[in-house]
Amino acid sequence: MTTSPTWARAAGRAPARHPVTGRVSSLTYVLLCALLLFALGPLVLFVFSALKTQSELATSPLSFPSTLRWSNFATAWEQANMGAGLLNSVIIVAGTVAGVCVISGCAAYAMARLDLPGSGTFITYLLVTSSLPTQMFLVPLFYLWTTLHLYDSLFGLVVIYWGLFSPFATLLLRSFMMTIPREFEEAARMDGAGELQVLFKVVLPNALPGFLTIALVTALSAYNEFLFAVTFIQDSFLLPVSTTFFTFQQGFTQDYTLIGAAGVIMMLPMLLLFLALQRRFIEGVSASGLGGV
Amino acid sequence: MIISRRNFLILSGAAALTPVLASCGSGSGGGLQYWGAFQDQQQQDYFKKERVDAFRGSAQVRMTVKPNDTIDQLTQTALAAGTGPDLVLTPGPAQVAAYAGAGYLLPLEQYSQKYGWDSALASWALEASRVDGKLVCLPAGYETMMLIYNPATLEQHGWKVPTNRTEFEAICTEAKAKGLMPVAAGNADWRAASEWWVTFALNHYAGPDAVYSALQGQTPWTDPVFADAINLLSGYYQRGWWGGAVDSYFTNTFPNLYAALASGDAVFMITGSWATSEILPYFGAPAGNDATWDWAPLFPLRDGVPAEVWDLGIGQTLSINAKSANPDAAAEYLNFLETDPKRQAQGIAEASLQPAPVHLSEADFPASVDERLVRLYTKLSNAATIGYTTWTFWPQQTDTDLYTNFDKVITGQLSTQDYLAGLDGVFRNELAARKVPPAPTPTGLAR
Amino acid sequence: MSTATAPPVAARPAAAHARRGRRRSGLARRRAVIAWAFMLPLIGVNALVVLGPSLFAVYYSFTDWNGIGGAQWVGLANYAELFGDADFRNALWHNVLWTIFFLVVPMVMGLFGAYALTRIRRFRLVFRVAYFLPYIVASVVTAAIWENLLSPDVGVGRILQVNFLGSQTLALPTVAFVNNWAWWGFLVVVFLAAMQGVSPNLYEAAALDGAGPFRQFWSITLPSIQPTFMFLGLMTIIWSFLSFDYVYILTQGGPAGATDVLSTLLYREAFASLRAGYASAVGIVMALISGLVVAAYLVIRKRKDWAV
Repeated sequence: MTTSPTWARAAGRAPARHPVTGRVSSLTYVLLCALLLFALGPLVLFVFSALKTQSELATSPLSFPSTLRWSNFATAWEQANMGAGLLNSVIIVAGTVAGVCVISGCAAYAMARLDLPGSGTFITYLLVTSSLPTQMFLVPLFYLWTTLHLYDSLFGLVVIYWGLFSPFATLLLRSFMMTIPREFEEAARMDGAGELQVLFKVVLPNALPGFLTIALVTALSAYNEFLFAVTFIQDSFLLPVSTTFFTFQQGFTQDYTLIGAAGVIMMLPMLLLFLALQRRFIEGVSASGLGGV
Repeated sequence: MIISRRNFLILSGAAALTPVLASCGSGSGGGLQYWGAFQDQQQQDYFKKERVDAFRGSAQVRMTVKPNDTIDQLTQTALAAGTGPDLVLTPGPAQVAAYAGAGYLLPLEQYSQKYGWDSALASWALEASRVDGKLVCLPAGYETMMLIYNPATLEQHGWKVPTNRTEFEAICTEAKAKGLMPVAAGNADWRAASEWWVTFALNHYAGPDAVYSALQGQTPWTDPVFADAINLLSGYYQRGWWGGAVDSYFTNTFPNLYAALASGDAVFMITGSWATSEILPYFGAPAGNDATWDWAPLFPLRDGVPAEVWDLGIGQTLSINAKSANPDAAAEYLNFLETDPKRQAQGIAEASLQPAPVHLSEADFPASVDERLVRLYTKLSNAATIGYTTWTFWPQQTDTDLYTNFDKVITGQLSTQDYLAGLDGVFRNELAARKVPPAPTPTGLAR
Repeated sequence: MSTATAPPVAARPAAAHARRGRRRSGLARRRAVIAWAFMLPLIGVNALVVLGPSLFAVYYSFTDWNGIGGAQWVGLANYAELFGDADFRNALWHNVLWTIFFLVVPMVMGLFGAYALTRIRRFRLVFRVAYFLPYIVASVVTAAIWENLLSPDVGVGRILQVNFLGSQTLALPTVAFVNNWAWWGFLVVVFLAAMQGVSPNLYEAAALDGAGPFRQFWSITLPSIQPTFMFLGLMTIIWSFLSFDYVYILTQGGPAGATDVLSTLLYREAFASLRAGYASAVGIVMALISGLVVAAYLVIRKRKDWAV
């Protein structure tokens, strides 16, 4: 695709022509900076706490660390068993994202492009099921998973995540696909493209930002989830990092600097992923139904 | 860690395979499955070395370590689903009764005869391990409530270890006036901790006889003697003796409380014997201070209550899963874990593990042991009067209500009368449903 | 893929659409079959993970199941008990307060942040990324961050001499505040995207008419993004009734029930009191509330003809 879709151009162009007056701006900047402080301040202090000694944290919790104790990270890495946890999380996240993309991709395509009969009812169903309290079916699900030999395997957990995260991803992706003009497909067919070609050369490339969005949202949910992880993974070698961190924090570690260091380690992968992909991610969000039809 | 796009793709390729492998590999292999939970790394390492790897029985033991907070729920869901480890660890008799009622646990009578468990373990604890007259678990770790203090703090202010309520209240009043925290208490880390102090009030004000009678269903919980006990304890909270203030009580974490005890900012701690291991990082060399701690038995809160009442609890029990493929080996392992006094004493000495209720004498302990622990467990082995910890001898729902609603009593949302009336109602139901764990008589400790 | 077998149908969707109703032929039926075939993975995994266990939970809500062993049918007894249960009413009330908080505070912050960002020229990207950052932090980590900060022994709590999580009155707003910290930035990003879809001509016309930024916001921005706004309102209500993580990690429903919500009540009944049957009934009531909200939304959506 060399030409960007119309929605992308519209989104990119609109703000530039926005009327701006200087007086409003200065006040606006002050308020925006206050919000910035609110968002980033606690994160920065948390990173500071990870670099302090325990006694310094107790005496001056809000200051910049006097000496940077990088060794906290090594200690936390080892004590909280972060290495194994991170690897398991990578596996879980990759499996979940791949599965959700396929499952939601198929479903969204059917709803947005194949004129699925009864799709309105189905959307209602998806909304209702994603509003069920998950603790409610923890025990029946556990029973089922043991019968199916899915208990205590990363794959079993991944399947649960497919079930939990695909409804929202489907709704998001469907809204996104609705905004892709059908004319693109029409034009391709006029040029003699087969249906498979239409799907792979027109629909999927156009929907790619949508997929990126659901991939990132799903990755985030899977990476951060812990209630199901702690229930469905028994083997301590298979625990994802959310669980190892939770166990570490709730355990008998009284050292807040190490909790800080472990927390920073846990945040880092998602942070890097987001910073690397944030433009496309937000672009995807803006094109989806959430961002204005 | 830097993940290039290329590496990332390779990892995702591996990810597609790993789940398949993992789901194949995690079947129940040979050997005994044991799920353990520990207070710290040292305990865990010790247990692995001395209690798991050291077992030379007819099967190998494979231990999986679970988080302290979730092991009970994990075991429960696993058993409900028809799986779980060969050896079932529970937090006490109430849970055992529920498991046994559902038929998850193997009756142990034949093994008890084979290995002579009746004579090896204390009768009060075995009594509490029976459901409908059948032995279904072994008490794996027992505990008592006790008073912990920092001798230097008492000395500095000219106080002595209290032996009755008058002395205790005098010190608390003075300490509060000096800006100290009279009793280091809080339930931020463990909401159920409130029941420790309810246990203290019930057994040391109402007394073990009254509690025993109520547990048998002969006295209602609305009896004035229980109301007085709750009012007394609630009054201590109102005066800011417990945790400094009611607000702080809800946010005090154990690490902070131990630290306050070490620094002299707090005077007493009324807690369970599990604290003897938790407390270690805060005193002396590990904490970089020269603070020390000691313990004393809890004092009576009313005339007529015996001077020394040991509120006993069973913090852990072990059973054999009815679905276990190898129950004989499991019983053999139970016997290995539970019955040798020297092994129990060594566990206390080297890892502060809570011992099984075997009779311990000084000779059983290795030379390296902490004198305070020898004193604790030899005294306990010879306890004349016992009290009842709520988490061991109360049925499950009554116990949950007991600690969640007590918090409402101290915040003034619930009157003592309503609190006890509510408890009594739930207790009657559970008594009728035969969910109340069997309790030994207060003085019936004949071994 | 199966689409390849149906070129004539998919090739002229507009035409097919125009003729629908008059000619529901075998062609249309075949289209429907293909469409539903694409739905199979979603339906399968949903039935396995969500629908099946939910049906079990419905059944258990009519029993005295203790989460272990067998269950006995007790009819509506659990539901009857629910409505006399002070803890249930307390938790339900907290969910209502929680919902109101999340319908107001993050919404206002999100709308303001997004609108302000549309009106500035520089650093828009920086602000947007910064606001969004807390959203990607795991709840366990967020809780650790704020536990540290609010602690009455170290941090802000000590400086202000306020025990945020220990106070009966402050605990619930505090937990909501922490949750909101991780949430509002997401709303900024979504609202910003919606606002960028509003035609600039509308603003230019309004500016010519002498409308200030506030007037423009009320009369142009807000009406233009109404579907997004309503959809997020719907999700806010649903998520507010499910809210679990932050309460569980920070206070476990305490102090003295001051932050107890339906999900923590459910969790305690199921796993501490061993009353899985009763807990299931709590879960069913939660699901019914969500169902009502969704139904109401769908009615409004139909009337207003939104496509979300």
